[in-house]
Amino acid sequence: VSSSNLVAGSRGAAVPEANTSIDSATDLSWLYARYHRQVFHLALRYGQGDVAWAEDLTQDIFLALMRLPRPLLARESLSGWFYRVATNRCLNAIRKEKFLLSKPVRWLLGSSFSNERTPESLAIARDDLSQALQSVDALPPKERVVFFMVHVDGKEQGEAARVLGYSKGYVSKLLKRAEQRLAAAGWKVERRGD
Amino acid sequence: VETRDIVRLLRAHDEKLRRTPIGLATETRIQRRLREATAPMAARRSLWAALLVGAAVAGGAAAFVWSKVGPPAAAYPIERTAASASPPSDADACAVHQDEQRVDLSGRCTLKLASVTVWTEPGSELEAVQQGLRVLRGKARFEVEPVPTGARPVRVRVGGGIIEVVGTKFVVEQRDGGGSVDLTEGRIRFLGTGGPPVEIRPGEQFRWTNGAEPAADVSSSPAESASGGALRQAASPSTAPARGPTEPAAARRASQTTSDAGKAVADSRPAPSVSLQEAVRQAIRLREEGRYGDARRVLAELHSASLDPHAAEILSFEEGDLLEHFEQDAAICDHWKQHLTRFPDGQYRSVVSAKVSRLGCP
Repeated sequence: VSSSNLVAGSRGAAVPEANTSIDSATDLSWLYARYHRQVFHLALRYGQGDVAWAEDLTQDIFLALMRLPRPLLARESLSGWFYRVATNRCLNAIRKEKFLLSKPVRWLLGSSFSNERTPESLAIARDDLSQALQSVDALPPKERVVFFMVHVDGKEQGEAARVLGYSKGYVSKLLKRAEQRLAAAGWKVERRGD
Repeated sequence: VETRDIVRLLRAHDEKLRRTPIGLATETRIQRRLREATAPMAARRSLWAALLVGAAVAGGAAAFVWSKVGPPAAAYPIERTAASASPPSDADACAVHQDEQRVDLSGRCTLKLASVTVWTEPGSELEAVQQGLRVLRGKARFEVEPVPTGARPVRVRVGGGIIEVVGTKFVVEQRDGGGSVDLTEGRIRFLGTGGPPVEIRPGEQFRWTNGAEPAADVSSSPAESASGGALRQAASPSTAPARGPTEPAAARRASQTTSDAGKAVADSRPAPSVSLQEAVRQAIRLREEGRYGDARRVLAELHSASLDPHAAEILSFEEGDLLEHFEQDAAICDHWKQHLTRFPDGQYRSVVSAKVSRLGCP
């Protein structure tokens, strides 16, 4: 093999072209190889480190990609698309879980589980990080996601609003509420305005 | 009382999650699921294609003619292709610097050889050598088309030896002191210095430390193919998962082969009657087939074995993971709470704590 028959490119030879179907095995393989870590990382974050949860989300997102009309995909960068879809999928998933764990639903389903903290479970959260994760987990899903996007990912509020499909005012309100809740729980949160 | 900065804590934790590589077993599962999911879609497309057969035939013929007339994919030199490619705006953009045969890659790049496709992580450095590639540093994922019987296999040189490939998918990581290869599909052999060739099976990882390279004319005849014995000899109960605590799939990696330049690593601890590696490997295989009960029974055979705390934690984690497939939440909760009690400072503590919290265990 000589170097003359190597081909390199920023997107490589296997990059799906704009006028081809996204759902060919080659395209999916390339997209998976390039973006699965980004998706898996977001799913791990919002799934509180639950790998099985993150796996399901990752799979769903790549399947969603295959069903996406090509013109829609062409409008934004793939990295941005994956960020937006992964964030929204995670938000939907944790909202669904929260709904299923609500007291009326548990009563209707006859579930005997209680989501209240016992002394034993509280003992698990003995370090600052565990307590921080629990505090963030206790936020309503929308507030949690907005908080992560702005404070951890460094997104501007306007950008977070575009990703989530909300108005900037609503995102600002969600962020403010999240910060207030965390401050009330004893955490220091630097206000990050737009 | 000092107020704790939650943003700083979350950012540090998130950075750890970001650096956590996706486990091979996890990746294999996702890819398998994607393949299964794409198959019905392909079937539906075939139906539509049959209805539009006239147009499809015409289009296909045109595409065929174009593909024959158009330039072959591997005809461009590196510089020209890199320069003509429209770089993405982010830091992932691929940049290629070529010095004679050495290829420096920064950003994420795709290399295409005659029968090999390579995806590289940022900061990788590859070099074209006779009959293959050398990974000088960084991480690269390879897909090699099957090599016909009798043909010479593709070779990937790394710090500790040569990886010989006969058609497969695998990931090579080369660091300063050593590296590893994760085999996803197919079959590869590692030709190290001083030891016999080691055949690596799908789902296994082989690690090496940098050393003198084997001679370039190492035979690649079928007779040289390593026996399974070499692999089993290399396995030891102390084999540590290569991944961090936030990735439970790391426990599945207990079946990984640990090697020092292809040689077996000795372990002074008493070996259990059933090899942990072998059992976890079997369990992975069984769970891939959806036989969770059988996988659980295989792991249960290790209960009577004398395992070190680390191995016991791996075993407990794997069993809990399996329980989630067919037990009631109460039983799963019991298991995870026992796990936390047995391994209060274990490497999977944060993951298990998150599970306990998510399940709402009483």
